[in-house]
Parts: sequence; C-alpha cells; structure tokens
Amino acid sequence: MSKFSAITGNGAIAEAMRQISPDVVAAFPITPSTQIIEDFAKFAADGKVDTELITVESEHSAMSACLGASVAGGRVMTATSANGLALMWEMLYVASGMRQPILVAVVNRALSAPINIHCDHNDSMGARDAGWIQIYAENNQEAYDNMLMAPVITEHADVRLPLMVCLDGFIISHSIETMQLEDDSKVKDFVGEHTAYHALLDTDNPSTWGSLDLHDYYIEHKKGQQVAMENVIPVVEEVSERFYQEFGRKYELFESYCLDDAERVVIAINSVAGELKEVIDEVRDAGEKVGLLKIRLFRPFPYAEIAAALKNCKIVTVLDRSTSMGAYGPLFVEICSALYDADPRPMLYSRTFGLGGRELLLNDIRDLFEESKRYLDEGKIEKRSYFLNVRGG
Amino acid sequence: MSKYFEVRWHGRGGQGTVTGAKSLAEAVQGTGKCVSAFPDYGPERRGAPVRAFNRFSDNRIRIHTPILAPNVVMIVDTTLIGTKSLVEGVGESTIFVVNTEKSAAETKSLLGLTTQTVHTVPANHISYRLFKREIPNSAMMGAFARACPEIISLDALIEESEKIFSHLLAAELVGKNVEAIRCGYNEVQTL
Repeated sequence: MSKFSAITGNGAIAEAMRQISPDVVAAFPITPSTQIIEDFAKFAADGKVDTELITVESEHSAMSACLGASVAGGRVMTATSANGLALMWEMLYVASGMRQPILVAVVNRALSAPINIHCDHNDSMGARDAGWIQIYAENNQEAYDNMLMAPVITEHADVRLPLMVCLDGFIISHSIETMQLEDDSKVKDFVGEHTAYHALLDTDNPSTWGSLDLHDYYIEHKKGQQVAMENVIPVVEEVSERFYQEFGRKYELFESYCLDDAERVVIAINSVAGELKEVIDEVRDAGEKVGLLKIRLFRPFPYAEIAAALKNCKIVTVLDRSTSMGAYGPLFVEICSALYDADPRPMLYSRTFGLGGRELLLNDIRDLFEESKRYLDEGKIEKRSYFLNVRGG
Repeated sequence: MSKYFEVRWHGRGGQGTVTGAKSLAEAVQGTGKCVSAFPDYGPERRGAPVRAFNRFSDNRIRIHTPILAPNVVMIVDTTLIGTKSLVEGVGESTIFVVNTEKSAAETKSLLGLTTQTVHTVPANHISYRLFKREIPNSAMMGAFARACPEIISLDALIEESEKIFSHLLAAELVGKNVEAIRCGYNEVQTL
C-alpha cells in the first residue's frame, strides 16, 4: 500500500532506487547527493536490492563503470552533483552517443570556483548539450515520481537515451517533506523488467560497441540521436499518463499553474516554483492575472507546446538559476526560441537568481510581480536581464 | 502567514538540533499533518550556531524558504542567549521553548521578551539523569508538546516517537527516550 512519509529528497531518490533494484550502481558520493548513495549502500548491504554496487575512485570512473555495465546488458544508475557531474563529462557524451539508458540523479549544486556546496543549476545546465534527457523536479514527491518514470522512458525502444533526474541541492535533497511512497510491488510492475539490447555479454549474438566512426557515418549516428530525442516527448507524455492511471499524480511536459488566462507569467525550474505558486495565489486573490509555467522536461525542450501554452500571455519573466557567462541564461534562450514565431509575441525578459544558494524570498517574488506589472503598464522593458538579490546589482 | 505553523530551532553543531527538528517532523507527520523539516546549512563545525526549521500544516507545504517570523522558537543551547538571531522576526505572540535550569522569569528577562510566552525545560538535566550525557532532543520535544498541544498532544508524541525510535534504537533506549519526552513535558515552567 502507498503510504505518506516524512522523508528527505535524497531519501526519496534512494527509495525509488531500492524499489527499482537496478542491476548495477557505480558511484562516488559528493555533497549534496551523498545520502542517496549512503542509503543505497545500506540497502545493498542489507540484501534489500539485488544490485551490484561498485564503489569507484572518481566520478569519471563511476560513469565509465555505469557505461560498461549498461553495454553489458544491465539496468544501471548513479547519483552525483556539481563537480562530480563535471568530472563525468567525457563519459556523458559516450553514454548518450552509445545510446545507453543510464540514469543519473543529479542533485543540483553550484560549480567551483569559488567553492560552494549550495544549490544552483549550472551543473546540469552545463550538461544540456550532452545528449541526455533532463527531467526536473520541484519537490521530494516529484523527484521520486520522476525517478520511477525514468527507466520506462529511457528504455523505450524509440528512445534508448540516458536520463538525468534533477532536484535542488539542500533545498530538496536535505529537506524532510511529507510525500507519498508507493508500494514496492506496484512500482516493480510499473517499471517492468529490463530488456538488454544487443548486450555485450550475449556471446551467442556478438556485437561491437564504441567503434570508430569517421566522416562516413558519424553524422548519421548523431542524426539518430536527434531523432531519438524528438521521440522522447510523446514517450514522456505516454509514460506520465500511465503513471497517473497507476498512482494518481498527474505530470505533463511542463506544469501550468494558473496559466490559462494569465497575462503575466513567470517561467522557472525546480523548487522555486513552490514559492512562486504561493505568491501567485496571493496576487490572484488581489484580482491580478498571473501564472507560472514550470519546466519539467528541459531536454528535449518542448518548444511548440510551451509556445502554445503562452499564447494568451502579455509578458513573460524567465527565472534562470544558472548562467552562461557573457550570454543570456539557458532557460531564457530556449523561451526566446520558443516564442520567436508567436504572433502576437509577449514581452520577455530574464532574471538570474539563486546562484550558490542565494535565497529568493516571498517578498522578492512579490517584487518580481510588481515589476512585471509596471513593465506591462508602461509597455516597455527597462532591464532585459540582471541578477536578483546581488550586492552592487 | 497563518496557513503554516512555523518553528525555528537554535542550537550548536553536534547537539542534534537538526535531528530534533527532523524527529519532531516525523512525529507530527504520524498524526496526519503535512510537515517539513530543514536545516540552515553553513560550514559544519562542532559548536557553531545551527538553525533548523519546521513547518506544519493541514495542507501541502509548498515553500522552502527559511523561517523569518516563527510561531515558536526552540532554544536548545542557552549559551546562544544574547545573540540577535534568536529574536529575529519574533512577534508579540511568538512562543519560546528554552532548554535551561533557570526560571522562566529570569529566562524571559535574559531574552528581553515582554508579551511572549516562555516555557523553560531543564532538558540537559533530564538527559543527564536518563542517559548520563547531553542529548536534550526528546525532552525538548516533550516541552514542545506542552507548549503547542494544537500541533501534537503528549500521547500522540509518545506513540509516534515509539514507532520512530523502535526502528533506530534498542528497546531500552526507546523506553528512556519516551521517559525523557514525559519528563520534558512535566517539568516545563511557563511564564
């Protein structure tokens, strides 16, 4: 039976991993994702999972071991954060290029330097071009639910791509929240058995993996990856619908909160959506038409669907919790692309916040909505882009 | 914001303050409320001031921001008295629960409080009596139940704590922790 529990985000991810019981987990723990691997190591030691747990000496090795185990025919997972993900970089591209459905729980944390253990999204955003599916979560429940859906999405025959489930470091990973854990057997039924695909260990049907591929075929294989990415959107919709039928929690490509008739919209990723919803309720009570579009699937990016969802709005504030130095934030750039063909096109601007864990309080969000109101009334955007809550800003 | 009941804990690294907030959340969760518990992570050093937070609500808790205007302030370490952060954002009706052997009147005056209710509990003393060392959390939780019966009753706190502790501790220690909760509840002085 499903039960309500008070559990941390990391604990929720570890529970999902226990329930899925993958063939192999290879990991090198790093703050703030450490508890995932600590909990999972305990499950492995207590015989609660059938998993081969490989404790490696670095994240590069963790991803390499995951890759080897996946090519050998296993269902494979790991967890990491920030500099750990950065050290996996080389192997991230190998994993996606070899179309291995590896899962990584990315507990979002700022990259060094300066050294900082708190939340921002520069780690996973930096990996947005690595050919991995990226699904983001507002809270513990969503992180857990996304983790349960992840193997079904990645192992789908039309997809076969690796996937990152992203959640906010500390804010979610270390916070206890009331959430619903599902029954082990129902989860196992939902996730299903892993079917190996041209497994290297299937010696009766030998196959070659990771071969040289020059100008004769490389670009065709990249085109194949692109097509697989495009296939992800209907698969995520289908798997989310099946999840809803099974467990009663509804997920779409993105979440629309008070969006249908909203004139002023904020677009954001992850935990800040909770604070935004809280303030939106207040501002709505005062009679103003404000709303939220919360990103869930960032890779592939659902351009057309997002443009359609924004067709009635007049002004859009995009909140990026990461930076591309010398350029606009990654989310803002995508929203600009999505809205280029929109007619009429809403006013659009970017705000960067929360780097290295800097808080965005409810009053800051109230100010944001005041600002969008002023911009809309005046019909002009005073500042296209700036950092919120920063000294000298 | 009245829709959330907000608790802010103040202690020092190594005292188990974060665990206290987590244990309280788990116990209140058992009564059917929605809960959250989260620490204010800085550099983790033994003895450095630590804050932890709880929110309780009948509905889903959506926000994760630090608590600025607490309904309850739990002071686990009295050597923090005199630091500004204890009374930050405190309102006229904020409730204080303080681990101290001093009287409620003296504690109230030390904290510079006027209209607020102060509950004192000798949680360290209780802990030395029962465990021969300083682990004040269970007694603090008992005092919380005395201060905030609308969030959790003593009976519910004991029932839920027994469930939680029995997964973690030997039977003898479960019993002692329940005793610490009871003593914490009974030995509260209020002003």
